[in-house]
Amino acid sequence: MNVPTVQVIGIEKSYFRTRALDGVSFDAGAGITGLLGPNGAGKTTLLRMMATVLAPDAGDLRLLGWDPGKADERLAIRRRLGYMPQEPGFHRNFTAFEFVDYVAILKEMVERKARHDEVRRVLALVGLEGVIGRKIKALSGGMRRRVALAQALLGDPDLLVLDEPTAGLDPEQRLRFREIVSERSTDRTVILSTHQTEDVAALCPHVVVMDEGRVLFGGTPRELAEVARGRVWLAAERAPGAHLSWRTGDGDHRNIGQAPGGANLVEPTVEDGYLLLVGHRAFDEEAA
Amino acid sequence: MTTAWHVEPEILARYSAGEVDDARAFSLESHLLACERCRAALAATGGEDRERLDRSWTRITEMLDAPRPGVVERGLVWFGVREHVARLLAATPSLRVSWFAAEAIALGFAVIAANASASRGRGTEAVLLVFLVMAALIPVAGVAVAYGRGIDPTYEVGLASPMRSFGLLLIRAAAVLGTSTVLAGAAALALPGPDWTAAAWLLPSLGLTLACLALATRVRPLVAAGSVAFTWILVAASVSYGRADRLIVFRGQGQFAFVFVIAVSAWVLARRRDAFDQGVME
Repeated sequence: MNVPTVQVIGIEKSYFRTRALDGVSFDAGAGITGLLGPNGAGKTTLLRMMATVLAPDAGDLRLLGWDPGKADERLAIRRRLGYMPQEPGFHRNFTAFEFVDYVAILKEMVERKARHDEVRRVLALVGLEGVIGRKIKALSGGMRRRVALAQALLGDPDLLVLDEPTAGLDPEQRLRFREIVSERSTDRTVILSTHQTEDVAALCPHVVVMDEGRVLFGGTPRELAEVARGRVWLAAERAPGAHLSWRTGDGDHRNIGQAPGGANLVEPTVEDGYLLLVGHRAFDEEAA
Repeated sequence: MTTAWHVEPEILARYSAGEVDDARAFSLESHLLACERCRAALAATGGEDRERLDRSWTRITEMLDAPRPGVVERGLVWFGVREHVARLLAATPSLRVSWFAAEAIALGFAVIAANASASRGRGTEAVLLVFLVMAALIPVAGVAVAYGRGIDPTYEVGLASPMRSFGLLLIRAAAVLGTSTVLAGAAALALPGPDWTAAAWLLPSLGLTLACLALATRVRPLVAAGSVAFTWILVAASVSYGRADRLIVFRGQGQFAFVFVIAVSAWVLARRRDAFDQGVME
């Protein structure tokens, strides 16, 4: 890994008796790091800490070399941060332009012309130049997510924190999103959460798998797939010893678990590795 | 194509040098589109350079792309509020027309009740007490819904931005306090037999608003406002109960007490202002 720009060291966080993060540690450098995990894994809690809006109960966090627990360093981080929350809120009576302009003002862009140019630039980046005068409440869910992404891109931030950025996007929009984010990831740090393994496989050179507030895996998508090597096989029926099994479009059953002798082993995917790690929780969620 | 009139050479030269105002520049540009002779004259001045064209295009784009601000935002700019501050204020729930209407209706009822009571020859003190207690609380309610978690839909994005949350809260609180004061002041003028009591809510409203902001450094704004309102109503009711002078809480000692509340609240707020920027209280 290159020089870490994000350092997460033994982070803990509880909400009353529920432990959301239980000693989470990992490093991330320039490029895209994907946090993968089922709902309730603690991804959003961790990303909110990286966005400086939530403080950990214990542990250390370093963002771009600064400590978000100190007021002056937190301000320095916020000046270089772009954040897209999981459920971005909007002033619905604002137009797309006005909303992004509003966030630009919060980001200390006071000079009107330069600010408006920047607002137009980010709205064009996410392909919304045609609807900038339309009220937020009249936009589709996918368009609103793109407005939320546009505000995060304001000022070309060094650290981009995106919580479930591809949720609600259609395949074409998802491709466009990958293009936008990957273009920005060469010398900047992007941390995104998702439970879409294809996003991770397509975008992230580094992936962290979380479940129940703990890190289960950290490495490349290829290494995540390797976790399942020798443990994925196809069969005509659901194998009794398989942890997970589902019928594919070809009519075969794809089984994950301890393969029996003579099984028809297949090349594992990122999804296989992920499912093997998070087990039934993720499988149940995807089935739902 | 050409037209019946042509631009004076001196004006063309000034336009070429970028020395005419926007309104005249637009007018000239409309004419130039239709008049070949003036375009040729402009070219002869050495004008129509790339830079000027770019500036014109940017200006046109700005006009077309930047949507016309809403009523509140335009009103604020008209009153001299800076454009970017007006946009921050336009997102304040308690600076919307519907909120002003609700305030006006509440105050209107109190004024009507006081006038009705006076016209029937009854004492107006009880109704006046309700008016004064309510007028002092209106800005507290406005500040409670001006900014904060669960109030502002962009709260988390705002918190993650470099603009100080305390600064944003103060800007909005000041605007809410100002508009509420104007509304309550106008209502007070319509009270029967105006005397000094018509203005007796001013210090309490400032004191309660600051107390609410000071408490909001510890708890959510809505909880802070609820606590302040509950305490205020309880104090006002218990102090006035059974007294010959029901407005005693608004007399000299009461006003002095609010000077003390203002001083303490301002001190707490100044000391704990960073709490607004620290992150979500969970």
